[in-house]
Amino acid sequence: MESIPKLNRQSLRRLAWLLVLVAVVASPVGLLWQQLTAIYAQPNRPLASNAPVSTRREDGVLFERAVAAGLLRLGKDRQIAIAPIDLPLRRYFALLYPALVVPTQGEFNWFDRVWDEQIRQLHRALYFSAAGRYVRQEIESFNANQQSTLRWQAVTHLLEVSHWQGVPLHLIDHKFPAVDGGAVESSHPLWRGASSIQYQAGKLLWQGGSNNSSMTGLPPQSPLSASATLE
Amino acid sequence: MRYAFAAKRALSQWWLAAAHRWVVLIWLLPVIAALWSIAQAPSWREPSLLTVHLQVGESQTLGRKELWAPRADDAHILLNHDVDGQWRLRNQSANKRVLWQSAFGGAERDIREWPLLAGSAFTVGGHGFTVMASQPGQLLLQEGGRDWQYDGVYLRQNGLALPECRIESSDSLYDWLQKRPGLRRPLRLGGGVYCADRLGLSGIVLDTVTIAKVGDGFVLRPGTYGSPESVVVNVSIDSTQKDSLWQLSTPLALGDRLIIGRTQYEIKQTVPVLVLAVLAQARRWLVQSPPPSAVAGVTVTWRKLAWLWPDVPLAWDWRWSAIALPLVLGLGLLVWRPANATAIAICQIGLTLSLALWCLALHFEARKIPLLWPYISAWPVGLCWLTVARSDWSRRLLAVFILLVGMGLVALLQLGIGTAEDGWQRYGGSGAALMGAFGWFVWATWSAWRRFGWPVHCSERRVSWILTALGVQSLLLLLVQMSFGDEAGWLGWQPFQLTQLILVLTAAWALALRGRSPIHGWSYAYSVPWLRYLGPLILFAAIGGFALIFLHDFSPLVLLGVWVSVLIWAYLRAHPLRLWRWAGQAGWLALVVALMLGVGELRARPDVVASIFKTERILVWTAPEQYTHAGYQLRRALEAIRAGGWSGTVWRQPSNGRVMMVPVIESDFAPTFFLSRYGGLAGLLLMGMQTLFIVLLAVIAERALKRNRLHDASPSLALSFYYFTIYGGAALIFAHYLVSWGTNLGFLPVMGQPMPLLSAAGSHLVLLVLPIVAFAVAVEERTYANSA
Repeated sequence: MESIPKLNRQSLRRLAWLLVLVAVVASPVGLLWQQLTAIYAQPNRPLASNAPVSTRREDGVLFERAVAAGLLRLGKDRQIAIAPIDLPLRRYFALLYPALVVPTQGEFNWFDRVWDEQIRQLHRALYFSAAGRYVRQEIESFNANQQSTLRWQAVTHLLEVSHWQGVPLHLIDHKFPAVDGGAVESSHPLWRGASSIQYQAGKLLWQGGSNNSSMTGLPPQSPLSASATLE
Repeated sequence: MRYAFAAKRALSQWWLAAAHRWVVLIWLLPVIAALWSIAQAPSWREPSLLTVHLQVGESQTLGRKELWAPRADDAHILLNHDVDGQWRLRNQSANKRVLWQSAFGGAERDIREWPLLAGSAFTVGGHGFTVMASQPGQLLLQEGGRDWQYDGVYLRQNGLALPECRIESSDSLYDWLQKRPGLRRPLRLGGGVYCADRLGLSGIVLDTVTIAKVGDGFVLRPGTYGSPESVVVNVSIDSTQKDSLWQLSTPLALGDRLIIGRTQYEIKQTVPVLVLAVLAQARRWLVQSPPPSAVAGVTVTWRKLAWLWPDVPLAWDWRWSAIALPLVLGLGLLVWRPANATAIAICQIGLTLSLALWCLALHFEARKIPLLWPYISAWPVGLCWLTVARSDWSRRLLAVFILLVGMGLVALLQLGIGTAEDGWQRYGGSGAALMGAFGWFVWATWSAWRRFGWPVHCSERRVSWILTALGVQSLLLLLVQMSFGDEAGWLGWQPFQLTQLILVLTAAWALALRGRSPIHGWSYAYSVPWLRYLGPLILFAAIGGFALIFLHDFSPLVLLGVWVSVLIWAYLRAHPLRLWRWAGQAGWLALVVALMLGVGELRARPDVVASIFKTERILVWTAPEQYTHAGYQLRRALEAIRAGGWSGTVWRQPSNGRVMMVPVIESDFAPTFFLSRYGGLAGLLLMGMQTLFIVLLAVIAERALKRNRLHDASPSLALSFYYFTIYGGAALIFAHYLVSWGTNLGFLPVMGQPMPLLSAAGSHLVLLVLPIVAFAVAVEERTYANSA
């Protein structure tokens, strides 16, 4: 029996179509397989690009930059003040509608620094980014702990005791314990349980020079907060 | 007996009519998967009633544990049974609200809310305010010798309007947004400036308290940065008594409703004990785990998960009443035993319409109904459509569609039944109900059209007018959302999805008209005025502007970019001139490959990206290790995917576990849930099905075009329109798949777009995906009928 060329052509076309279909479906499936394999192979870190990796955390960087830009300042009460959320608007209104700016009393003069695009972005990051929210939370926590530390110091000075619950109190070292940026918890026993932001805040306080005669069983700048986590 | 016989005969006829019975098997696969999910579901107990035993004069603090409210604080409320026998509730949480709704209806209100009546006064820190007048639409305050007027939108100082609280110079669009008709914005107290919606206070943080217009009056309530620890806020009706805003309490009465940390309650009894019925979002208890420790003063009544029968009778409201009319009509005709075919058709249409309305009602009541009702009501419509399709291609498309919908619904069912919190089941239930409503409604319409078949003669002019009207309507809907809704939508819907669908239609029409342009050689007799292209261009600009200005989201632009790109491909592919066709497609492919390589290269250079883009999402995409906070979602998602491995966790762990830590797991990160619970292999299967789905849509579009080419002598505008519409729709669905997979796996920046037919996204399903599928099936059936 002779073959029918037209029918053969038809079946060949169908076969080609099927092959194309399989190839089209297999391509994204293969890409997903490749992607999943890469994810499963990297158990402890996000799927990153090939770019060089910096060990600095975004919150630490933000904290440092904000301090340098004057958006975080150390007060006489050993508290860290955060630039107000409406600082850009205050500056703008101070130029255009000075009568509509609320007179401040006993606050920092937040207008004493040059305001540029970089600082504007830093301010924005401080209030409208996840890292900024974390930095502000940690500063609030640090400030709260500073208050309790101050209260504790006042009590110990008042009582003029040299022991606290059987533990001899001593002057702390005049050298700030150095630790790596991201690994505060394991680097120094005094900072165990602290976050990197609280460590940096403590360092800021130390550099502010207000703690030279602090009595301590715990470091005066230590957050004392076991609940502080990195997340 | 006669009915039974008739039913049996109808069933056997239907079975014979289902010439390709494999579709029944396809339809059954998700049913089997759902049954398996139900069989291995954890045995949860949910709190049904909380009974609080307090002697008169006693009070007790309750929180997350006692109230079984997973989002509440440890000590969230203080309940007081005062000497008059009255129960009073006070919010003890620093920054979480307690909402109360009266048994007599009305809106929910914050417990810490104080009505500002004429003569009352309040202080914020050291700043004292006196309410001089409170009229509908006008509040007059006096503070430190200054008068402040507030109308619900604008603040005036001594009668003078204050400038907008923004830095940039005059912007008409922004100004319009601030003056739009439905706008209400609270007056925020605190901060360092006086402007249109801020009343600055020295030494007080911005947004410590706010004043909002509610109904005809105004209320004082805590702001975002206000908390009991931060500043003292006192309120008083007269000078003799002052209350702290943070310590305000509210009396509780029978039938009142409460929301504490998102968990909803209704007061069922007040004498001699207080009984709270738990309505939704409560924490569940696993029967196999140790029983919860008893809490002094509070006893809990437990209930099982309501699979098929409600724990308490459902309240009757107008939504259920809407079903009655077509149901009565259908059943009435059935009892009447009509002899003629028209009456039987009306009977059938009435019953189908009632099913559609029933599904719609289930969607609105998805929080309260038994878990399986929406699935049982919706799933049969899939079989109906599968069995009536005549063309092989539409049957294949529907089969893949059913499998994809099935995978999605089973995953959402698992999301609901595997979570230690009541309330997650509404996502799957709502999606199934909407799908059922759409399917039954289209079935009723199709039955009516088939029976009473009015002729469809759409002239070119008429189609243009219809599309123009649809375009204007969609723009109006966007305006309505901007005026009366918010970023999440309007009345629970996202008009934005409908606008995308109409953009697909108008662009397809413009391209079909373009095909008749003299430069293409299809027709030398008719020139297309450029004005015809204005429709899609206006819609495109509106969608882009809406996304950037109102939603503050660039992801719709990415979707539209992919859509435009695929439409260009479709246009070149259909081009009648060989040179254009081949050179164009080759150029397009080269551009796409170059774009992909460029994006890959860009990702490898975070420093370059950082200098160009300032968006956090893009920075995270290039260097996720450096963004521990901004990259939280992606990190959690990848952890969950790794935990699932190739086989998934669902086989060894009935409850969902840590994957529920991923934010928006029900919509944007639904693929993460799927990969974590069902594993990478199931993910590959899902990807294969999705690709097949897109390919089938493209094939149906190509078949319409091929038929067009058969009649090349007189090119059909309609067939070109079908071709571009289906291609456009497929392109938009493909773009959603691409963006969603990219977001979940990290190869694209995180973008908040749902994955079609997997995520819980009702508007996306009903206003975009289902119409495209229905359109493709209709076109294919028409192509099949004409070729046969």
